[in-house]
Amino acid sequence: MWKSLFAAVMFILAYVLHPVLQMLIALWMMRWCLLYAKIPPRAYGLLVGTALLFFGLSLPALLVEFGHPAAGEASWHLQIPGMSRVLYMTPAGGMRAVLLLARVSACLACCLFIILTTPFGELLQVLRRLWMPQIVLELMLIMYRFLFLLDDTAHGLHLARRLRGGQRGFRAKLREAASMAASLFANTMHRYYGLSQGLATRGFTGEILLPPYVKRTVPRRFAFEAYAGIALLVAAQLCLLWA
Amino acid sequence: MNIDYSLAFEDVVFHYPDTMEPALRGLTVAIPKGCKTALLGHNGSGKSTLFLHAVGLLRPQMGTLLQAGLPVSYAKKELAALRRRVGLVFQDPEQQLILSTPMEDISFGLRGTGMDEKEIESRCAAVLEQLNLTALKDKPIHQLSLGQKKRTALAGVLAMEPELILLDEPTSYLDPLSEAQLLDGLDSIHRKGTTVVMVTHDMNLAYRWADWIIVLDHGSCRAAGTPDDIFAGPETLQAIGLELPLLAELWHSLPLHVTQGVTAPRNAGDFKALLGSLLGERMDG
Repeated sequence: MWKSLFAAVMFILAYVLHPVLQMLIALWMMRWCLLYAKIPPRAYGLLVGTALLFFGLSLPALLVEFGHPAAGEASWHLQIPGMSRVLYMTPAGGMRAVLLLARVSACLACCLFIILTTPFGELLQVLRRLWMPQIVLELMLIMYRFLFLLDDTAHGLHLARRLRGGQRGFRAKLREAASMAASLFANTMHRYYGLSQGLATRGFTGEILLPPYVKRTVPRRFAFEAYAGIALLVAAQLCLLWA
Repeated sequence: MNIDYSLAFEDVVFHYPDTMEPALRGLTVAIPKGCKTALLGHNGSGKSTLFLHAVGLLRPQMGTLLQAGLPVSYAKKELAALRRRVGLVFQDPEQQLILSTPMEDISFGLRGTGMDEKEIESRCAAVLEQLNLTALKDKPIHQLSLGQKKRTALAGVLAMEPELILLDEPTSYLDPLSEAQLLDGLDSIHRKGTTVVMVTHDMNLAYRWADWIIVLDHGSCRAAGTPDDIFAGPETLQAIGLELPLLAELWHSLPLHVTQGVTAPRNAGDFKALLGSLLGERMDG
């Protein structure tokens, strides 16, 4: 519960503080994950990279404008042949992207902190204490189990295809990926049917009852660092506001 | 039927939709109480369908399923009670592992019965200990090996303290060590009075482990009896394409004067002792 509250406070701060402080939050949360929780840097990097890929995909929309820039507004422009309008980028668009990156990084770091350092069962217990509806918790639970089943099935299918020579060429690979997705769907449905049978035989009566919440003590060192860090961030924000 | 049985099928017929042949065709068979029973038969002989009937997931289209001498009722409450008395362990453990750690998963069924948390904890601890899973109790399930997952699935069923446990090929894909650990667990469950039924294609395992054997063929019971009865002659098994266990084959290849009046050895240790005594006799002679 303490950890969830800490993450929630950090999440709010990540949303409202100055971009420089947001970047500091991202680094500080990364420290909690990599140094204290000993999450492998490669896995952490992969998760951050995958999430930031979506940010990367939204960059053209953030940076590039299409129309008639005011004089001196465009820092770069491209005249499209046969059209009066131009593609152009502005410093304001660049600033918008940087601000968004700072906020995204900080919020992402807070999310990863809670996801990577809290066992899933405990996370559900905390969410239940926060009055999350039972149906949402059950869906989360089933989805969590299914993620690994899906990964396992996909890995098996991919390996089997590679061992049989796979496909050469871009078009063939695309076709292979599509057929793999179809097989994956069929396999997953089969597993879903199996899991529903398993639930029935284990006495499922329409509600998955989760273990009760267990309160744990937080080491003083961590508590001190968390409170001190929050206080420093708030103080820094106030200084920036007054400056 | 005069024997004391846990569960009995009387003329049960079941036909899956969109299939040519019925999965069970007039199946009449009883599972003796307190025994370690091995269920043998080819793929498609009706073993898994029998299990799904035993826990009420499938309902006979004809015939009756009897528990403690009474026909099984398929009303919601009775069905829940049946599933508390009869536990099924699927071949693929992923099919029945629901929560994220062994401890949480084992307690899943117990919590559904409205049991007190302290009682749940002590039952889970006992089962974890029994199946040598205590060290893994808080490990995420997706990080467990197949053998550990199989034992966790068994533990989840065992915690409910069923009278009858059904296991669908529990030793498939397991290495010898994991298999031995699983069988040790099953033996300890059986010693506490639970009836254990196992589907297996491993004839050697069935021969050394079971004290009752049921042979299914094309949805009906071809033979049922003690391993000595079933493996007395190869004819019945050969007729449906099953092989004799190695020890039984060796036993049958011995001259009649050697085997007469001697109990057939069911495991390597017994066979070694028998050989020792035979060689001793020869040396004495």
